[in-house]
Amino acid sequence: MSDHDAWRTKLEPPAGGLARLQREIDSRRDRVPRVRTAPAFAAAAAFAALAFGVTHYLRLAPQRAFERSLQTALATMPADDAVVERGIARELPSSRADVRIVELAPAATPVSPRP
Amino acid sequence: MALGEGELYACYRRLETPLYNVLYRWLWQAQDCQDVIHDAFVRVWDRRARVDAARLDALVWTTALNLARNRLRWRALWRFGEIDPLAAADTDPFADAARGLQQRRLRDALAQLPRAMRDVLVLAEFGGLGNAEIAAVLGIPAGTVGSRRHQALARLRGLLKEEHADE
Repeated sequence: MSDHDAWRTKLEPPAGGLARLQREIDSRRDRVPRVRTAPAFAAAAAFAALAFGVTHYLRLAPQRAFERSLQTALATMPADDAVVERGIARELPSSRADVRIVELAPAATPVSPRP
Repeated sequence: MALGEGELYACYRRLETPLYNVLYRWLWQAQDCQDVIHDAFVRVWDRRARVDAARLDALVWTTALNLARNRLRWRALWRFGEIDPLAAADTDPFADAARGLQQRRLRDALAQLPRAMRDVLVLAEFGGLGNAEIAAVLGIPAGTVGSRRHQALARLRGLLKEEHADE
């Protein structure tokens, strides 16, 4: 190397750098997974709760729709024995004043007037 | 595919010396250089699940240079820092003194170069990186690297010659 290019001197790094890195990686091996699994567990739990809620809601949907239809039919029904025009129910005679007996039928099946 | 420990250590063995030589010409402190190299590899390891092993070297270079820039910003060492004795580890005190003087001249000359030129020159001359690798690390076109490198080398030689003539 000429004097002109003496500035290009190659330096050797101090010893022990790789050993230091290996110690650091070893010390992280145990704690890194804990840091990463905590958010994963939280996300999984939230997803499970949401899935349960949605499934439960969908499972009860037909029952809720039926109850709504029944309430609508009863609300519009006259107090005496009658046939509801929408065809879902008709009230039958009851021997007790505090009990109402209602005959139900699917909406597709018209309820015929009692003879 | 996630990065493995073996690949990381092999990369460390491959890049430690060129990284150290480049970082020393930025930071002028041996301990800081060691710390930056260590921190860069630890950061890359923390992101190992997303690291492409084919681009590992470029990622380590980029991370180390960013850390070094942060360090320079923090302590504004470029103008006011002292060259430490660790870089001149010869047992001969005369050799130590000569080397220290040479490094001081180099630091003063590099400080007079525009940063864009200096970065390219240091990576090429002390890191041994080719134009394409420097382009990838600095995020500039390879053609620009070539012209900056040529200009920077000519200016550095001129500055060193001037300093030598002044003494």
